[in-house]
Amino acid sequence: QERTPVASLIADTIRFDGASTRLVARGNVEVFYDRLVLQTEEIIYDQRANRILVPGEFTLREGDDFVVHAAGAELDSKLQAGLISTARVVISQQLQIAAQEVHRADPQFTTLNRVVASTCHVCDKGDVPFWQIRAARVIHDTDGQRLYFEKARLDFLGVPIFYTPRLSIPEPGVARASGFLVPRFTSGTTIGASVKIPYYWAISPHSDATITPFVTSKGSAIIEGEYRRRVQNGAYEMRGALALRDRLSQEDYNGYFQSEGRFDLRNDYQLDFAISLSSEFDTLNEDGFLDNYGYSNDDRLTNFIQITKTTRTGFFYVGSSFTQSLRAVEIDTDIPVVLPEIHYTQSYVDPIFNGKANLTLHSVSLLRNLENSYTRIGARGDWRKEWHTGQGLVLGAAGQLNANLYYGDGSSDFSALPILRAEIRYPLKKATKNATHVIEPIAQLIWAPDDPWGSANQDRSTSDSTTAEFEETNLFSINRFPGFDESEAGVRANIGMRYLRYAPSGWEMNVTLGRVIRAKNLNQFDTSTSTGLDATNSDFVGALSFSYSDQFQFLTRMLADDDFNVSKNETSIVFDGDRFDFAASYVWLDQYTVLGQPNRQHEASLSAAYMASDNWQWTADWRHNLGTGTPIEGDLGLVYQNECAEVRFSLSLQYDADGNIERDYGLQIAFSGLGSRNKNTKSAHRCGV
Amino acid sequence: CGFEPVYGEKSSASALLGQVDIQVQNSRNSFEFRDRLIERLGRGDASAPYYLTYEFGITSDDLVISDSDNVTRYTLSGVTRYKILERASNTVVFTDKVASNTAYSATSGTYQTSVAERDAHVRLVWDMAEKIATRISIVAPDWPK
Amino acid sequence: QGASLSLSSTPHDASQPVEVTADSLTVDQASRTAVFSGSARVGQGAMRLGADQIQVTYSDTASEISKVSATGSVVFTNGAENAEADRANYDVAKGLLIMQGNVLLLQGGNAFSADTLELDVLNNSANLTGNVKTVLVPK
Repeated sequence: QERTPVASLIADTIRFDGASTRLVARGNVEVFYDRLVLQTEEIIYDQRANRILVPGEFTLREGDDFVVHAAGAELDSKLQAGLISTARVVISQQLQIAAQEVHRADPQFTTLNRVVASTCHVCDKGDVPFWQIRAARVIHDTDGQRLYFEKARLDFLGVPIFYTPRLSIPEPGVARASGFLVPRFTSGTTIGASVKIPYYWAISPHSDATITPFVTSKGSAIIEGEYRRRVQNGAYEMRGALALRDRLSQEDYNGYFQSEGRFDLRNDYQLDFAISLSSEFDTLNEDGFLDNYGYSNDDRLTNFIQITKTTRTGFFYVGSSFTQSLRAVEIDTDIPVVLPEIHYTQSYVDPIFNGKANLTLHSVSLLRNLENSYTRIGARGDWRKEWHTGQGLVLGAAGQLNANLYYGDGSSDFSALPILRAEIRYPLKKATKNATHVIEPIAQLIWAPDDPWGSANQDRSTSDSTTAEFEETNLFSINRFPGFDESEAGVRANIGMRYLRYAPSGWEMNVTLGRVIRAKNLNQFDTSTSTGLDATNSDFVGALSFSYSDQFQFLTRMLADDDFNVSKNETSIVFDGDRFDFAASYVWLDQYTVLGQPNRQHEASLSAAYMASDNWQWTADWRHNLGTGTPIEGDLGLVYQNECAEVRFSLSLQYDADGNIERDYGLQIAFSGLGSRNKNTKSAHRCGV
Repeated sequence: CGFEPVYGEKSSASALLGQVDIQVQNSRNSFEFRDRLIERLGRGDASAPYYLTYEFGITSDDLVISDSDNVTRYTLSGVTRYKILERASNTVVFTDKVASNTAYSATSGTYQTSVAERDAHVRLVWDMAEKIATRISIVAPDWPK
Repeated sequence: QGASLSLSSTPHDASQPVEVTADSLTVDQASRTAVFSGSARVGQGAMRLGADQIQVTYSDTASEISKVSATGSVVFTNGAENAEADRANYDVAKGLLIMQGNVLLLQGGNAFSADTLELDVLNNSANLTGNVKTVLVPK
């Protein structure tokens, strides 16, 4: 017969009165029952009535999660049922509830009457906490880990802002509890004032959903939904929104749907997919539904499904993709569906020179409005071998062969281009007291025929090599075209050097400099002056970066021709201080610096965050078009954070070409210490400060 | 002027060639990263004395937004945190991180832009692999044998 | 500062005769004390006190016992209460028994442990002090 737990008692003195079976314990009195501990100076235990009377101040504790400080109580000997008067209950060190009366009916339910609850520090009686909930009664369900308020009023800085007859919130520390989340308020020129009231639904241990009604003062009514699901071999998410009434467009029932997922298949294959579709009814302003309601400003929604596998010696990819373009200039019908694209690479050790030989088989088919417009099947062979001489020279030999068979618009063709490369590098190092310097001169001589055998696919709408970058990351590469359709032809030399200042705990610096010298200009990289690769001898490529541990990074890369006018400059600075951090970027791109980019781009952006004090933080983002001298977009944010709340004010500005500005204000309040949001001890409000 | 070759007769960088096995992760970036490191450090097999593990952190941001509010150029910033494990004693002999950055344009067709994005990722991981190879070649002397 | 506690319903009559038994006895006329050792027993009415050694002190008139002190696994009972301790002193006239050292008191289903116990046998009250431990058992 399982022994029922018995309440035990420790005290400095006990007086025992046999006649009236009353026992008086005094001095450091502690009563233990199961996980409950009562600590006080004096108790009177009446054996016949089996009641414990606690005349003075006492603390009743259940582990660390439930602590009652009170001024008097009458409890049963199991410290369960009973009445406690003027108590202050602390739940999981986060939520404090001051109650006139605490009535413990049984182990699961505690009833608190005439209550003030808050997770904010309350310094002394008169002090008004940042927020508090006043209620006639609270029922604390310890098994269900929930608090049910009756006739609850939410005060903010002492001002009542919300009343509800019924309110139920999860116990602090409960991460997944269904219920309403804190509403979000925004107001802006596009959608007017708006409120979102999210409802979180913990469906099962491995799936949950959030349903959010979103209404705006201009009359739009939208239902947002989000669903997250973890399955045995992966997880997927779905989210979307459906406008029951959309005042910003002729049509109602605008919306969008997105989903992503990743699944581990048998023997190490992995499946990833992403779906992103949006309605495109013509809106009054030319921004789409996603932009109007602040979901995203992506103008190309990519949908793909792919299976990949990587092993020690190989890589396999098969995927299909489709992109919905919201750009006014792109009509959906001429956006190709990639159905499918296959890459299969195997890496071998070449028996003759003990070098590395990679063979990649690839194919792609592009569909345009349901009929096949282009298919390419090809192979790429890559061979590499490096020798290290006694004097420290690194000699490299490499070869690449691209062979493609392709069909498009009724015609089919073949093209192939071999490339050979000889390389010599001479890395030198010098160790000083606190850094190691490495200088590495590099010279590569590359041979390739001026024209491919057969003819390469020059069709701009189907070739995958219509854009090419020229920067320090591909200065020394054997073939700078991004895809398979075209390969770099002709005889040329990549010459340059790299420098590294390496100091594990100090300033680090990287420099790369070089250029490409060609026998003949084959105009593969567009005729404009500034791709850097257009003339016989390319522009100088330079990149300089230095960084100081995690705190500071600076990078600038440049493309400049012989008389030093710069056709490309991308610079970025990142600084992470403890109270202040910022990131800035500057871009200057001359016309055609990038294939297919006719107009000049000159832009700077800055984002900064400053912790003015433990509680106040400013954030600012700004993007400016230096070409036209006009701003593009900006965000200003002010965040107040203390131990029990986070209030976020935000202002975002969008400037469009003809100068009018969209302003959106946002107010977001989050209560910390409830549910899964722990109290923020870093910026806790300190009494008397 | 005090510079000496990194590789050479008795240099520990030469001794290290072919001695580092590199972790396999299931992604194109990982395959290309491993491929370039194998070119520089030699192919270490599963029983090689050193084992390199790594973790990519790649973020993409809008670099240029045209006035019709379309993003025309993206920048990719990459950080690779890596560790070198001495397999026999199962101790980490070297921990470091390298950073790199590249950009690609989104002005061509949707398919061409996705190929440009993929090529940008490959350039990024190749550049980080080159940086790691250079650093390993100068730090190798301090590793316990 | 402890108030009195009555222990059992029937009050104890301190005037009854006190008998003492033991294995051996040594008497010291000068100090009018007698030491009983070897499973010594003292009895007065329903009250019994046992210990390894009991020293009895006689009053001036040498006719009754004024004080009893017992050492070594002292056991006390008066029918309703049982107590054990290392040492005990009993003042016959005042009817006050003080037990000290690992005191254990059993009283009608209640068990107490403490450092010292003051038992007033005349008006049946007890006072335990010094890390007192007990179990709350409803009657």
